[in-house]
Amino acid sequence: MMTHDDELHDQLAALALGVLTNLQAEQVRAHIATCESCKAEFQELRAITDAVAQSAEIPAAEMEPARSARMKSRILASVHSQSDGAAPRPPVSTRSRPLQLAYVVATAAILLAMVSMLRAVNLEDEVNTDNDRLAQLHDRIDDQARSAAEQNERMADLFAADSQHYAVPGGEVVRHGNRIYLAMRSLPKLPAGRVFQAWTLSPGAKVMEPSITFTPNRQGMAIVQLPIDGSKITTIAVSVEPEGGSKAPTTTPTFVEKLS
Amino acid sequence: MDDTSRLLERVAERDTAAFEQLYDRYHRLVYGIAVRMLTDPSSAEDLTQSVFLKLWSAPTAFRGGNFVAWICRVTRNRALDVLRSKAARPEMKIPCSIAADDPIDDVVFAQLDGERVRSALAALPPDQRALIELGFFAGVTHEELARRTSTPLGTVKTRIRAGLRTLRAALEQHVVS
Repeated sequence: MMTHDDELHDQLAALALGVLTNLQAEQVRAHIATCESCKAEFQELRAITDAVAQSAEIPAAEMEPARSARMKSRILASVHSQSDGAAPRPPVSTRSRPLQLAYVVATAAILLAMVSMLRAVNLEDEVNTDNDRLAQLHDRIDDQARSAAEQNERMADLFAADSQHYAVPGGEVVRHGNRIYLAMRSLPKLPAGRVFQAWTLSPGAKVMEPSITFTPNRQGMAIVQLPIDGSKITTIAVSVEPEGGSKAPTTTPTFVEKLS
Repeated sequence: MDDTSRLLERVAERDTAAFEQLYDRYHRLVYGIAVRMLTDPSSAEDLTQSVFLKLWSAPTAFRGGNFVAWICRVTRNRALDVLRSKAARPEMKIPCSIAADDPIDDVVFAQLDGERVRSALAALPPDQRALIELGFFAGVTHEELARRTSTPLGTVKTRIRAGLRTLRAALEQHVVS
């Protein structure tokens, strides 16, 4: 029989996994703040969830070298541009200095210096906190700008006069240059725990490669760009697969379209 | 002080070589979480960039403890932000973020690698494993988990807790051995 304690422990696990809404999380956190045993259990469960995240690490042998290199060069370019002209921060270890107690006057001077330094450290902490907030705001603005730019590019591709359109059941495949999209207008409703998954066939390949998974909105609409060079695809297919995708189709494809 | 802590201290001093080493060491983890949650490699690349630039611009945001756990939380929270901004259905609930600076006092798991966690996850009963992985990486609430898996909400909660407990026992065995 489910007891109050069972429910509470289940909620702690749900909070640790990060599947509670804000309101639910606030309620559980309010309890944790007053209960040491629940706080300890939550921290234990939280540590396991932190470990779950590590399962997503891509093994070195499976990480595409080109992708690693591209991301690295983009990030380092940003870092170097931010570094130009930036004054180096003092090392953390220089924040503390040994007290010298040889003379009273010297002691007083050092104490005075330490008080000043503590104030400086507090101020630096405040500045760092503000910098954190500022960096987060910048990141959000960047995310939104990127998202808007992606949407603009997507719309331009879909309606470009020179884009190729291939009608398929429920929508169409659109190729513009090396970008390729699934523009679906009326996909059937998915069973619980299932997603649509795209498959692509490259020239000379004998089996289809798994591509992106996606879920349409309530009206059965979805527009997705495939993360592949669209100019090198000869066939595209979509099938219904378990959440997380499959390595090979497990159901009869919704459609298979050869691209000319 | 471990090697990562030394690198972070050098990053705080604006040492780009140290930053590059951190990137080499952790980018497969950050990108792996991002692509698993966003299911789109190009969005995942953008997210990886934003996490590492955050590390560069505000290295003091990490206040000590298990760095791997911290960067995983930061990455997941940012991915949740992206999912919120792209939610196909406005009414779709995305779960709350976990504060990246929540206490990270369990350093036992700091020495794990992805392969060990994957094998521990693989040993879980399938229904528990599916709920834990979906819950963590799909960015959905437990009500949505119940709907997607056609499982009663109470059962979902119980399986999550049982799965996390079993996983802990398995990972502790790994650490001990």
